[in-house]
Amino acid sequence: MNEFLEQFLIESRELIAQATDDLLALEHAPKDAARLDSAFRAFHTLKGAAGIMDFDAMGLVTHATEDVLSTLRAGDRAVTPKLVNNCLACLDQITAWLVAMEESEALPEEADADAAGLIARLIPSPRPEQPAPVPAANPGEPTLPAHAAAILQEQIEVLALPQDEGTPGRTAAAMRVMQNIFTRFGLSAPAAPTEPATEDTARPQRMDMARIETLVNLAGELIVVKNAYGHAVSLAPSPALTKLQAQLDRLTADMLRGVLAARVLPLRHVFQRFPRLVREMAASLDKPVRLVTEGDATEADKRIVETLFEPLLHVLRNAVDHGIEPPGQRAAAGKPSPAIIRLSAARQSDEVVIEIADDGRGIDPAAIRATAAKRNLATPEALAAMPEPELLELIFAPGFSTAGAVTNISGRGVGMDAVRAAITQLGGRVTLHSTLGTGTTIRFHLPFTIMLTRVLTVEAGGQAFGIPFEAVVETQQFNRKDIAAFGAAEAIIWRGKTVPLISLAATLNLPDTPPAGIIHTVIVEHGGEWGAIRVDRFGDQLELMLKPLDGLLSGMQGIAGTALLGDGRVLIVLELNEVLK
Amino acid sequence: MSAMRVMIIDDAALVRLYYRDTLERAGWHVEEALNGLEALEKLLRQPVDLLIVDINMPKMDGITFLNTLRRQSGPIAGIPALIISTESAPQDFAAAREAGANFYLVKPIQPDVLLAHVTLLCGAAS
Repeated sequence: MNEFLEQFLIESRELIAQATDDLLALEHAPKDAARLDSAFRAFHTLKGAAGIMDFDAMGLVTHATEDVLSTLRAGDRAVTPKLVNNCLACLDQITAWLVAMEESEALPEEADADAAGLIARLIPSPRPEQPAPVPAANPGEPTLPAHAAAILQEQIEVLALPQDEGTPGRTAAAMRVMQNIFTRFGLSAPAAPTEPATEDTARPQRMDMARIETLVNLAGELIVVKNAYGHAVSLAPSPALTKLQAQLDRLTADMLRGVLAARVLPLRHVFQRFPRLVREMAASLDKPVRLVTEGDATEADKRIVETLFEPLLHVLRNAVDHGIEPPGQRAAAGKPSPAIIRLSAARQSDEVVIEIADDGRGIDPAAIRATAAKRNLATPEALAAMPEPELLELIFAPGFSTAGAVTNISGRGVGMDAVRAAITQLGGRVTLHSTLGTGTTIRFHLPFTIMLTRVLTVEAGGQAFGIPFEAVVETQQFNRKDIAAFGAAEAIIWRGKTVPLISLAATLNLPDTPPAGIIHTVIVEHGGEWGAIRVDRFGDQLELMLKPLDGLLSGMQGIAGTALLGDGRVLIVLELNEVLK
Repeated sequence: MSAMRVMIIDDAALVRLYYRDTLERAGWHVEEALNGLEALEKLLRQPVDLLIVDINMPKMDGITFLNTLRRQSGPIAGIPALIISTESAPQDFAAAREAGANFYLVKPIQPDVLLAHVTLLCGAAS
């Protein structure tokens, strides 16, 4: 895509998000002059950008909106929901045009007609003036320039070359170059904890994500090369190579930390979609609700930010649908209108904490007891004796829902268990606090970056698998005679403990050759379950960047993810939950 | 901090002058060699922080020079090297990489491009 168009799309989307935010705020605070100015500026800058791109339809629409906003500024007109709707409709249309431009690099033919329709809604008699010329948009400030990324990439290619007598020299030179680039761009230093920024101090971030994504993938491949290099060194050890290997280990770890710290997005990317969604949900339920977002400049790993939409949407839906009382009940309880849902984010050391707090009715322990009993989640006696925090945890049990009736907004069969699963998959956790009559707060505690997974590789049924290292207690060999049979099942006695013996090959429906003499097992402990996993042989310990399953493999049970090995094979990393079942 | 040292290895005097002028203005210390053999002799006496290497040179070309350099024992084997050549075929890039080049630029090259790359490629031995 041409650089101008790329920059135009990035900037226009930022401005649309800003204008949307401002318009929604104006609806609640029509006299907020700062918001009005901000919205006006956003439309003005959009108009300028449209002018640079010779994008007439967008120029005319933004010009008309700017006119409307200037009459508001002069006090000639008041902010009404209809006016806000019309302005939002313009932004929706521009967003649709941007999508079309991104896909085909050309405008849809009907753009001019659409523009005319929107302008007619905005102002009865449009003035088709040419948009005024404005100064050129500021170019972006990429954190890692293209030539630096290209040089880094070349060093990775150099490190991946086949081994020969030149390898130590080439490796040393490549590492000196990489070290220099890391130092210059501050990549080796872990990102400094940032104060939760407010909207005012938030600067638009225009990093070229595709470029950073390339670096993250390359860093992942570099780790593969590093692992292969370590293997090669172990075959022919020499002090010089071992020293280089230690350096390479340190550098790759620094590099990965560095690039992952660069692959961050402000949470605005996901937060900005909610004010309108909540507005529409609330309108469809006739509940006056206002969503307040805070700390949306807080950054988190791109993959985390992009995965958060569904879980957040679910929690917000619950809040609007179940948390917030109907207007009559609120008035009777002496609660203010509109109801407030606060969506906030803050960085707390290595964590990003996202909080969704509503001032609604809170969760009724009696209702939980009733539902849990109905769903057979626990016996009535256990429920009666259950302390409140534990009771609230039942909300995360699969299939739980306290909704009396299924509505269009929530109750679609996806429960809080799905929310917890999504957050756990990102390496985070979910907590819930609720006070009856006062409201409910749900917190997502998320890691700032995605971490490396350490695995032990094993072979079973002729294939390589990875076992997450955190679950491995030890590798142990047994004699055939140590195996005790319990009906069809087998177990071994390990340190006075009876541990079930599990054939990995058989579990995965692979050809299993029962060993004649010595059997190799990996003793694992996961979620309180123990197992001795029988494998054909043990492999190396590796550090990997786990790729979540996609395509055909997605949804396959027993697999946590995959990673590429030094020799090009794909390593399947096991999900022990399923294996131990 | 003492100035970083670059060695320009190119048989064309005008090219060496152009690089030298650009780099010295930016505060670099510049050494020169007319071919790979002369460069090796000079480096064994006094290493530098970065090599700018032409490919086509008499006596010892850039590829042979890099292959030889990377097989030396001692710190000179790991000096980063930037190839600047008029050759622009994919097999030239591959040959340079295999010989031990850390980056490849195609002539002609603007002063700001030269400086930007030299700054990033130059790495002091740790």
